[in-house]
Amino acid sequence: MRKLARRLSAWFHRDRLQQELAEEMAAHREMMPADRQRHFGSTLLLQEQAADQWGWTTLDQFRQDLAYGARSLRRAPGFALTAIAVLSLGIGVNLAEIQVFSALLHRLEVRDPDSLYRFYRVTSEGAEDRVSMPAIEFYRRNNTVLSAVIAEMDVPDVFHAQDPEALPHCSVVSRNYFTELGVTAAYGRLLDEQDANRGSLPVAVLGYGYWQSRFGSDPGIVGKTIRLNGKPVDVVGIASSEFGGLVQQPISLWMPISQYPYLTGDAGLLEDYGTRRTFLFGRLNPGTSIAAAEAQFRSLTAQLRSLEPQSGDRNEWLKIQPAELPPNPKPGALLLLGTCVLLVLLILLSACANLGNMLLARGFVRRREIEIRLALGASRWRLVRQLMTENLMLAALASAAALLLGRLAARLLLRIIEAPPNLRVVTDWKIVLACAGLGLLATLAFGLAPAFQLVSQGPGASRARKFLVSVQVAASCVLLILSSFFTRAVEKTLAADVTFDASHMALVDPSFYLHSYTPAEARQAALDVAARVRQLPGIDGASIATIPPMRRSWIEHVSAQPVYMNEVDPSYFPMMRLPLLQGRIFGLVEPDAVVISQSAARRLWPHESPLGKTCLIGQRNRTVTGVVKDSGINLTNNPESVEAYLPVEDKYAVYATILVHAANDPGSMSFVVRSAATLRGNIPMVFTFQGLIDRQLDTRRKTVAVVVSLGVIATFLALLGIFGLLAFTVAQRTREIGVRIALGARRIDVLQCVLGQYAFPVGIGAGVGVALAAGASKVARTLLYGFMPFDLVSFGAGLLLFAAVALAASIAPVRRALRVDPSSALRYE
Amino acid sequence: MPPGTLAMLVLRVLRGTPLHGYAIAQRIRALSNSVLEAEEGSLYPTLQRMLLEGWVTAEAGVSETGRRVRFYTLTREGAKQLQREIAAYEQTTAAIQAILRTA
Repeated sequence: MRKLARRLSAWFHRDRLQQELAEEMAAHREMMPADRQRHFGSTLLLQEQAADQWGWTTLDQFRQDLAYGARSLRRAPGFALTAIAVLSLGIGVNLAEIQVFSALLHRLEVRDPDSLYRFYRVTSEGAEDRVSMPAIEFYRRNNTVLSAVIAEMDVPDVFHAQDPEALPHCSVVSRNYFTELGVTAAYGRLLDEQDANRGSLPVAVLGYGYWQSRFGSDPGIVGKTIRLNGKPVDVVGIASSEFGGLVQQPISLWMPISQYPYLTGDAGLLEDYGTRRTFLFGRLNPGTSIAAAEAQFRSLTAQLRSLEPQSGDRNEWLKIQPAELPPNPKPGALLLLGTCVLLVLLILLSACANLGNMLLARGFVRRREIEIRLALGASRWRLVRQLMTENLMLAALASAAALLLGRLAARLLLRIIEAPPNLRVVTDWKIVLACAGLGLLATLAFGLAPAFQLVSQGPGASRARKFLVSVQVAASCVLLILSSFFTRAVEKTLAADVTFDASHMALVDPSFYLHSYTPAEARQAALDVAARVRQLPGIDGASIATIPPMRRSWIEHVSAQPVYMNEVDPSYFPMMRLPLLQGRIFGLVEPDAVVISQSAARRLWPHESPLGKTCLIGQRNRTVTGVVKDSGINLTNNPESVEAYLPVEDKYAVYATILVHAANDPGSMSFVVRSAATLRGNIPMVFTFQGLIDRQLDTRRKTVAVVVSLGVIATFLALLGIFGLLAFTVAQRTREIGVRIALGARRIDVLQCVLGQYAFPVGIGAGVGVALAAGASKVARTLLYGFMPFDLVSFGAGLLLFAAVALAASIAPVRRALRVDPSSALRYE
Repeated sequence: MPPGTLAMLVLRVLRGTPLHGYAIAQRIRALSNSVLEAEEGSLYPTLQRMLLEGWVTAEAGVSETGRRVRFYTLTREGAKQLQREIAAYEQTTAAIQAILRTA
């Protein structure tokens, strides 16, 4: 290391050092006896030998190569710019992807995340992550291993008075939450100890993203009063943009746990050992092992059970894990991630192939230069080194551009997917390192073969070109086919036959299961709400369903067939416009009846009448009383509407929702409906179906936007590549074309002879591309679209698009070849 | 001069006092009773290598004849290297002598 430093410092002072050496040797010679002075060797040679010792020769050559490379790039600005653009595009998309993924997997932005642990309740039924509020209080008071106990509970279905459609993600937290996590406020203050005391004013802290989107980043909101669930709450501050919450991100607003009864009207939760809804975190005392802490919590849990028998099972214990687990993705997510990585690497590969081809073409032009240098005695190794230095320079410039491009693209991508503001694009040393690594890799990939090719001047150049064409064609085909696949998938979703009158319908979701209703109470409450809403002017229907359309799905296996289940009341069918085809609809009290869809009838009892048949659903034999038309609600996931409807039973009644049909726009009725549907301590949510549909399609549109933009980049690269290749081939063979035409060849034959050589590599590339795309689309299908069938049309469309691109790229070169004038062609060059 | 010994000799003559290139050559010649000659062609590259290795440092000065020259000084690292080279050299000569005596 010090040797290197000496070497470098000597290099900087080399002029002085060489001067000193020369003077020194001159003095030496002077001092020598006159007869021996002649023996003193050549000073120049000695100086060069000394320079060799310091390793200046290599550095000198590198500098020469750089200067030479810079000069030759400057002399061909068109080539240099195209090359840099192509390569920076290739590297840029990879960087963007890395940045987006690292943003998605970012660390918790809290103080000392390493001492923060999360507690999981392990019972005979498995591990779950929620604990009851009074138990947390018990642990807080009695443990000696934690320096702090932090609790956070999300409160679903809180609505803000001004926009009942968009629900804020509200969360209530322990009194030490913000101080213990070291979160700072962007404006105002955060929740403190006083706020958590009983009888304090209800206050809330807004999440940064919610504040931006809902309140237009207006700091004036601090100190104002907003209405949550219809109740006034003071906004005291905005949390910093880096912090999005401990459990679910991003949280829109935080309130003290003590305000939970005020917010929801449910006073029981804070005292009830049986309602386990709160996430428990703790800071372990320094020096305490996880095992020791778990042991203490085991005895505390046993102690608690002896005091409060309903607090847990016999063998229950708390498992302690670091709050910030290394992400443990599911195999499906890994597959998706892998596919994404492969797709963007494919773009880089395509860019490299493109650039390699350009270099080969350029090598043809530079052949004379290389020959002269070889003739003058340059070694082949030296020439390869020189060419690679030039390539490295290209890659370095492209990498610098890619750093900017990647950052822009990553930000754009995060905006497209509407990521919360605590996800941000960070260009740190890791990204720079990745950029340099990719640049280096690309240099080797695109540069090495052409450099050797150029120096050895073999006939392999055209073979290499053909291979590179295949690679490019394959990469472009994959991306184009996938783009058309995704676009079509979304189109199908858009076109999915929504048979019911979605634009006039709304959904009332009282979420009984969150408000400790018994199933029987829930069933009665749902019937009451439906009856009350039906009375409202402007509402012409209300019915009950446990699985509201577009919101959730519930699949059961009936005779080994997956069937979409639902529990509904008889008025559901007319409201959803599902005409009865056979038999009859079940009555209000007919627990053993089932109504199935056309497709279900065909699937379960092909060529037979399903009426009167029995089947086992939910551990009970049911008799089919009727067949209705397919609803098509699940079409986005399943080509068939294999559906079955049961009467609303006590068991699942806590999930009951009420569907409402309005004569006019249901959005304008939200308030009326909500107040009519209000129960004790429970203000239900009201959604319009149009909103639900739009939101569901939105996610898919975003996926498509991303894939299609990759496809556009790939197409652009392919266009450039094919154009470059053909233009070069025509230019290279202008003379030959001229001779052929002069000798009477037909133009079409000439074309075939000049350009036909690429038909085979293009065919190979397309074949490989189709095979790869088939694999990738299979992955995408299982992951994103459930049962979407293999879509031949999208393959055809992708290939057709590619053919169009290839055609467009070849128009100019082909015209040029056709216009070759024999007399001028012979004088060409 | 046996190959590889020049560096050792240079280090040895520098042990007492800083010297310039010509003085080093002179000293080696004088101490060896004119048997060993440090050729300029190998002396200067060797000195460059020793500078690079950090065994000696060079300071500008003026020679007896009034010319600007560099005086080479032994560093701590150089002294250690001298010890090592002497030890290796003695081991080799002892081994060679043992063979010469008995064979």
